[in-house]
Amino acid sequence: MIFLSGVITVVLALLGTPLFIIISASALLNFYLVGIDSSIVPIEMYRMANTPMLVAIPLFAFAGYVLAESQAPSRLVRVSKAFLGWLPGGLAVVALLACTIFTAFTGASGVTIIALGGLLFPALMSEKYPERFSLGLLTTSGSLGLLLPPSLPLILYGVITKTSIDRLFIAGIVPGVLLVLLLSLFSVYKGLEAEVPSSRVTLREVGNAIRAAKWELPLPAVVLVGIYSGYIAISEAAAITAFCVIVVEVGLYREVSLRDLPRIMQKSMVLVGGILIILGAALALTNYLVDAEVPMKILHLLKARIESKLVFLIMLNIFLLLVGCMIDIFSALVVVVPLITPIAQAYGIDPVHLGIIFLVNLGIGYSTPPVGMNLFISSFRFDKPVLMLYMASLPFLAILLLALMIITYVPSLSLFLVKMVAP
Amino acid sequence: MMRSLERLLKGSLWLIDRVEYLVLVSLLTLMVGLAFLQIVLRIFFDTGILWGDPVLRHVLLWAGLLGATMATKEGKHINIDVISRLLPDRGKVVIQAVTDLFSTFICILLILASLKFLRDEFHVGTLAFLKIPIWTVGVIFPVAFGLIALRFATRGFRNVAMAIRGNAR
Repeated sequence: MIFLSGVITVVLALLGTPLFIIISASALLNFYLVGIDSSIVPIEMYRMANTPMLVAIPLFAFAGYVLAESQAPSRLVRVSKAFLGWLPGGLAVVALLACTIFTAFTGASGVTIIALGGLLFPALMSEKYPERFSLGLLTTSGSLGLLLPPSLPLILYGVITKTSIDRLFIAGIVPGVLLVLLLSLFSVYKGLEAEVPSSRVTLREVGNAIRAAKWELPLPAVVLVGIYSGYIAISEAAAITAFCVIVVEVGLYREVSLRDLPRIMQKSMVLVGGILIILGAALALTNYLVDAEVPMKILHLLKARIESKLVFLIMLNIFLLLVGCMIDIFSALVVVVPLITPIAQAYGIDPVHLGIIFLVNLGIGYSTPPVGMNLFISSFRFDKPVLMLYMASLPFLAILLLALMIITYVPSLSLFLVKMVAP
Repeated sequence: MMRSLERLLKGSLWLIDRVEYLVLVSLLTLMVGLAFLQIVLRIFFDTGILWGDPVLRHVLLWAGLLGATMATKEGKHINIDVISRLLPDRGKVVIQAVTDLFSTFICILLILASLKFLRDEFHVGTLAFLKIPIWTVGVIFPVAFGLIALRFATRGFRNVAMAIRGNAR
């Protein structure tokens, strides 16, 4: 009976039933089987109202959607180009950086492809970059910013595992830069190969680009300095960001009208609501799983077969790649993290390092064929067949997988800054 | 008779959508304003509204759940969309009908669970913040699950009808 209902649930999940329904159903069924009243499910969901960090999520998401509707993406590209256009493959590097910053601030990498792709793809094509290279670049770089503050998935990981978010933000810097650096090197190489033109840095264009973005540039600086100095909390940084973005885009640039704001609010809350309701349902299911000592049981099974930390990490990488290409990053985090964290800790893996592994892994899963979500978003956005995007993203995936291995098997890469700053 | 009933039904669904939208937008506006006010008060005046943070967190809960009902209306819930991509239109409609009806059923269970939660809280009378008991702010649970169930049910029945008629438009 239990087995049968388990199979039915999995089949319904694969058929496309919303994940929060699947998770709620499992929680309700399991609590029923052990004789606990179903009101435990809303009790657990209510715990969301006692988690101060969560307030940051809708505020950042809203700010990101407002930015996406304004001309901020094109100003961001212009500033990056003014500084880095001289590199061979400069525009590709510019694209990487712009996507990274944009994803860090908006959290959902699909938004990056939609907001920046339409701008960058024609630009790359007009500078004679190979089409396949450009498509792969834009598809995979949508998930690069996930490690850098104030990334929403990193905040969510901190909320779920009760790990210090400040430490996570410090730990993400070096691995995040490594990812961007490796892909940049590849882009420079490709740029040389395709003999694309590179622009010269002129002081005038640098000045003009900065002047055009003068109202927006202070914002990331304020947020980053505020977070890293510990002077403002993450949720406060989110409040400042949301408020300033409204003032700048609606009041100063006038690119988003006041009448558009309710619609944008609704759009961002559809995304946030979809995440939060899964989080709520997962809180209930996790409560059951921990009570039933499921992580410990899995651990016993694993310990009997897997001795070394290294083999465990390899298995974890493969498992998370599979999860990452099937499920959206937010739901993957709320469902998988509570199960894996105690097991990983038993293998001696630092929770901060684990968080970085999770995000790099799930981010790569986003663009992994055959079902990674970014591939479909790109296919839709650039109007190209999905098969072409599979081929286009392969070289980038190879590089990202290399970086993943380095980040996973060299913990100090993530941890040495944390230890230096906050021992 | 039938026609006016249908018009009434459509009208009330429209009204629900409208109210939901206005409430959601007001909540998020309140959230941005209050959160920003709090930090201005803290940094420049070294003070703050004592009930500000718990109010913010409850506004988040309400806005999140209403956002989820909106996601249901727009069919934008996060799911694993692997198999239905491969199916012909007719198959998609059948599967949609099955998953919608299952979702409706689970939401009804969640409504019942929330009502029990509210009843228990009503008797215990725990306070959420200030003098506001948890059962009043918890009203959002049955309301949100009710709205979600309503959306799944209407779409589910439409899909069943389409599957039977056999024209997937």
